[in-house]
Amino acid sequence: MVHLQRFHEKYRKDGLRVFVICMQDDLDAARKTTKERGWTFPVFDGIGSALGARFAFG
Amino acid sequence: MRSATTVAAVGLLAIGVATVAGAEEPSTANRIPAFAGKTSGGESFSLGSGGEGLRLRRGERESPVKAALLHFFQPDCNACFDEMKALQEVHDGLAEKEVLVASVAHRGDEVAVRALVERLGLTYPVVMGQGSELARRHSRGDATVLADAAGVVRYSQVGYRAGDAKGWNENIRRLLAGEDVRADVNPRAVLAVGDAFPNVRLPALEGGEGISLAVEEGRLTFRDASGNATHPRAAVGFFSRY
Repeated sequence: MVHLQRFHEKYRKDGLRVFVICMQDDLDAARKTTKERGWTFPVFDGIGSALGARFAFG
Repeated sequence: MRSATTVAAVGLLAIGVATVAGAEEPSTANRIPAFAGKTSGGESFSLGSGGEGLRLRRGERESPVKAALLHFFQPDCNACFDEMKALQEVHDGLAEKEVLVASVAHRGDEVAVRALVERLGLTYPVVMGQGSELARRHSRGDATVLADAAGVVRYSQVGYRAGDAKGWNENIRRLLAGEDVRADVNPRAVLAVGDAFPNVRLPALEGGEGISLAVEEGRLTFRDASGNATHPRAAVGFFSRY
């Protein structure tokens, strides 16, 4: 995630879109972590999504 | 605070998830390297394959290993916890058959590893592998490999999904029976080179505007709740469980 943040900051102006699909059930914890770590790339809720069901694992 | 844990990463690049050497002639090229370290409980633990095949030494005891299921993890990996519980069950069912089930910490400090072992009540060996050649070569975040009696990797996967233990047990049974292991025991959906990103709409974590992703007229398109579209030159989407 640290590297994603760096990619986001470095290449956003060049047209790279970095985003995170959050697969954490506890969204409050995810929001807290996002804020505490200063991530500025967009984070989306992937729980229940077809995208998460198909491609996420772990 | 929970740490970020990779679940899977997809983007416009392909990711390989389950790989297997079962259909190929095993070679020393993918033999697991010798390992010597200690368990979370401080017991010496070494694993190596020589002329006599794969052998395990724990403390003063040495024994042959007919199959080794090695899991690579870090103690702040939320996704690993369920996998380690599943590995415990596999261990419980196969420990008497000279099958080694072990988790190898590739990151994190020893205190955190020991706390995790205690919290999950694990009795199978959890090994401190930080900085080891074994971890360097085989850890890919949360990864699991299955090696045969010669120490040759016959199956590997990244990540874990509930039910994966069924596939591990099946491949271990096949190894013990002298059969080829299967690559597709724990299939993953993957985006391969040339695949179009699937159309999807996702709500924003912080509420408010969500986003839709689609390929429109051959271009990757992000569209906000107002319908405004942007077309990035490239995108990296990353699944994560904090």
